[in-house]
Amino acid sequence: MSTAAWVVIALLAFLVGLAVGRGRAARPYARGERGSVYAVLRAAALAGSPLRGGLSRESARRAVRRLRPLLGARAVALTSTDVPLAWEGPCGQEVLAHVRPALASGRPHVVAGEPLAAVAVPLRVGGRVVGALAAYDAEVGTALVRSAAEAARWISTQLELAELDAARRRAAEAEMRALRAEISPHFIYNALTTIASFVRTDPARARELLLDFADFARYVLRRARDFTTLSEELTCVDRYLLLERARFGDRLRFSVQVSPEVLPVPVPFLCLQPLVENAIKHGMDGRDGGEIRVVACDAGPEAHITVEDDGAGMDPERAGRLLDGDGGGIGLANVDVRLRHIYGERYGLAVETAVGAGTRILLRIPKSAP
Amino acid sequence: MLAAALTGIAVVLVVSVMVGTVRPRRYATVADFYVAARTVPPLRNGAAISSEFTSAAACLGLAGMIATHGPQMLWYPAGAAAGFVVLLALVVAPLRRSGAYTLPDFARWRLGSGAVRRMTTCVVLAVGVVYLVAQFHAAGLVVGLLTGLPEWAGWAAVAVPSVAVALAGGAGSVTSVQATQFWMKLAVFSGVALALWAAWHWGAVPDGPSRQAAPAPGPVRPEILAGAGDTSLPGVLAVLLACALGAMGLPHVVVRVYASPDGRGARRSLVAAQALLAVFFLLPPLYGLLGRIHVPHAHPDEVVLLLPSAMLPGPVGDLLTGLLGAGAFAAFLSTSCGTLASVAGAVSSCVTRASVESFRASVAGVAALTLAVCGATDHGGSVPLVLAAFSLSAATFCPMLVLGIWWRRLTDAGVAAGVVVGGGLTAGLVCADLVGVNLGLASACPAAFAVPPAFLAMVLMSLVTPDRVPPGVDAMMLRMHLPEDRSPR
Amino acid sequence: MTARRVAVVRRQATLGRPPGREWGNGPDHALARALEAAPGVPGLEETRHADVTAVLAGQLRASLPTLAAVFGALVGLPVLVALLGPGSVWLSLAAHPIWVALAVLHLNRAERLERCSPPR
Repeated sequence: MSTAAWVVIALLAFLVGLAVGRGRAARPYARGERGSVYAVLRAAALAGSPLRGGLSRESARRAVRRLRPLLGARAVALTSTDVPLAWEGPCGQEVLAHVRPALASGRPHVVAGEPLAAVAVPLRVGGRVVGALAAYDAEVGTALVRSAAEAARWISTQLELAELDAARRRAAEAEMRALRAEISPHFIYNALTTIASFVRTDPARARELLLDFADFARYVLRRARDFTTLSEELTCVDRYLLLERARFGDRLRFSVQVSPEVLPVPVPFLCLQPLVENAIKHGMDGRDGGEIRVVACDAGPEAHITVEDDGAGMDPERAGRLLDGDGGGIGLANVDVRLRHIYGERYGLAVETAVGAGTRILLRIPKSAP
Repeated sequence: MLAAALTGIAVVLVVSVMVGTVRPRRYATVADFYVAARTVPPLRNGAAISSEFTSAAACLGLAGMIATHGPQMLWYPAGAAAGFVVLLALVVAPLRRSGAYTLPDFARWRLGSGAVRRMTTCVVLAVGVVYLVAQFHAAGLVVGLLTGLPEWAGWAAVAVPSVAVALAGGAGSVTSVQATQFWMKLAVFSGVALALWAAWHWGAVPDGPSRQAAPAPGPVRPEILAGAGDTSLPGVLAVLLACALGAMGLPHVVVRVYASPDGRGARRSLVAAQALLAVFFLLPPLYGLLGRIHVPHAHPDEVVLLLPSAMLPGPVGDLLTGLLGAGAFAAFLSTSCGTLASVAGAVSSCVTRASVESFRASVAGVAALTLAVCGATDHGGSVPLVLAAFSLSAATFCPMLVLGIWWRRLTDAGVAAGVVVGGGLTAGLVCADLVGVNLGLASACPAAFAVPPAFLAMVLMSLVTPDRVPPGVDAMMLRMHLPEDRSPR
Repeated sequence: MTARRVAVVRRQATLGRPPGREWGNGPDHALARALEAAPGVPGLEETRHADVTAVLAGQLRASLPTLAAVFGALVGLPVLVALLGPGSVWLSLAAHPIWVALAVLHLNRAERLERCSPPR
């Protein structure tokens, strides 16, 4: 026999095995009383799980497929308050007419009909009716009504959990948004007074600086975005340094060292500028001049960015307090928290410092986003 | 000959380590800053891609195959370059836009499954190690031929600098190093080829195989692995298929794509690479033709290096041999560095959360594994090994990437099934062939027998597990297929 | 530089990781999540679905001719040579210009398509 035939046979065997396996899983697992409890609970869990993500056509479609055998009905449908979402079995768009009384009254409703009768049960989330479950059978008995009501209650619980999830997510996002680094008011004040000092002596320079300031502001204040690329972030730092240079003159020296591979790496928005601002604040503090060095390099699966000043440095304990967010300057703590938030606890800022030894801040960004 | 070869190899080693670890320029003025913040331009990235792609197999092996197996092998360079067009048309821009750094990252992002990620990491490891073994073995052969040193000296000569560059690299620009090595390879191989061709054309060489060039280490075994060396039409077609579909799964090529700033840049880099490869791949046929005339009985990977001294005995031949040795080492090094770094990156981010420490440990581990495999196997030729890697990649990553990028209903279960079927068939056929079980046509061209079932398994399994389609698949599709500035973010 | 620097890292952040990380995975994960978490909007899923279908179809239309040409040449050239006889095997060198031409054509087509793709 040729190899091709073997391959085809193997593939067919694989598919048959797959089909058999799936068929098994759908059937009750064990016999007897305990087995049927297990089967019901499992079917309910399977039917409920898609709805854990909310009530949509897709989740409803998956849910009704499991609900029909669970209820033992000929057809099962799920609707929202105004559209039929999904149905399984011999029914169709007309289901909306059948559930309307239930939606209106908020109570289960039995609809007589030919050839199938129906029971419609409303779904409630937080006391509000959000949709309905309809079960169809040749005749609707108490058993079906009761199990449909229980199923509707189970679904409602899942939907409530979904709402809770969404609320939690919204809270987390709001928290994240609140954490977004903001341009410091001191900087705006300093930049504007510096520009003002040039207006008379060197109007051309003042104009250039104003334009730089405008560019910087446009970047910082633009519509909410969580991520940007390192190259945009560096450009922003460059603008910022230009403005600071105008203020400090030649006393502020800076150098930037970048390996081009890391420029396209996505980084959290405005994660670098607060560090540079911090470095200038501590590096130029009461000194004649200082140097700021920004180095971005490739480190296998990560990009490493360091911001270093040769200023007075600080007591490591004070650096720890700065990272905690007390002891002046929210910028550093803010970046630290955001990084941990996005990439995990291991990706916080690392500050290397000692009194009289300058400060170096290391930022690690995984190349593949979390 | 010894001195020239040693000097050439030493120069390449020193230069590559130095360039690989040198820090980039510092920028202290405003105007310079824009130079610093400039992303990798397409031509340079294209040269870097070509550099990692033109491995020992492309530089030495292809010419050797043409010399020993005949002109049917001329199709191999054509097939190897065709893979880039397929990559360009189907994969590169969406892959870049997905933001995935390695292939397992892509699997994780697209399918949201850690298990699939681990599975693809294993395949990346397998493909990468086979690729590296081909480089190391070829290096051992070259060092042995040029200097008489044992094989392991050649392995060490490639392994040590590669590990050093992968560990220390980062501060410097890897792309520039790779691009420089490509230009160097191109200059060396085309220069020597021109010199040899001129000598042959102007009649400075005696016709027929010269006595001196008949060291022929034992009778040449007909090495046919993964269809390499099969001169029949179906065999050639199967190899071309493997080449065309396998290029997209080579881990080092995918990592290069990430160096481009966006999808457009990635696409342009690939077109540049295509053009550069078209020039480079004119050389193996020339060497192969000359080798067929002058050194017909040598080991495939030795043909190119034996050629100069066979054609021009004396100092000129020695000099050219030294140059070729240096060029070959540039090829081993650039491919090994790139493959090592990308495989280690994939492995490290799978084992733990990506970090520099785990990356370094993975680099050492992958290098050690490769050396162990080298020690356990003997050298059959670089082309068959590289083709085996291509076949494996074509049967696993090609379906995953193509379906992942173009088909919304792909599921993690589907990918797992496809990878098991495709990878299992390929590995099974190749291994069976290695231990001497020949299954006829299936052994001769594993790719042709493994790729369609892999696609089929992936599609069927995805269709029977519609519940596992990851949520948010529409958003992912939009992100991959719309230009960055238009994608909804 | 008188003293040796000491590395300082904060032990624990005050905030936990946000939920929904299991698949939220790239720079746009917040958006993808937001879109997924908006069930009640009627027709939203359908429009997104249609959008994706249109975008995919457009891109695929650009790619398929290139692909067909590559595989046509890949199979056609060796078969042609086999028909013409072994002397014509040098035709394989013609493959490279074909690949480059196809690549450049595809690049142009893809970039043009992206320039005119419907604005979002």
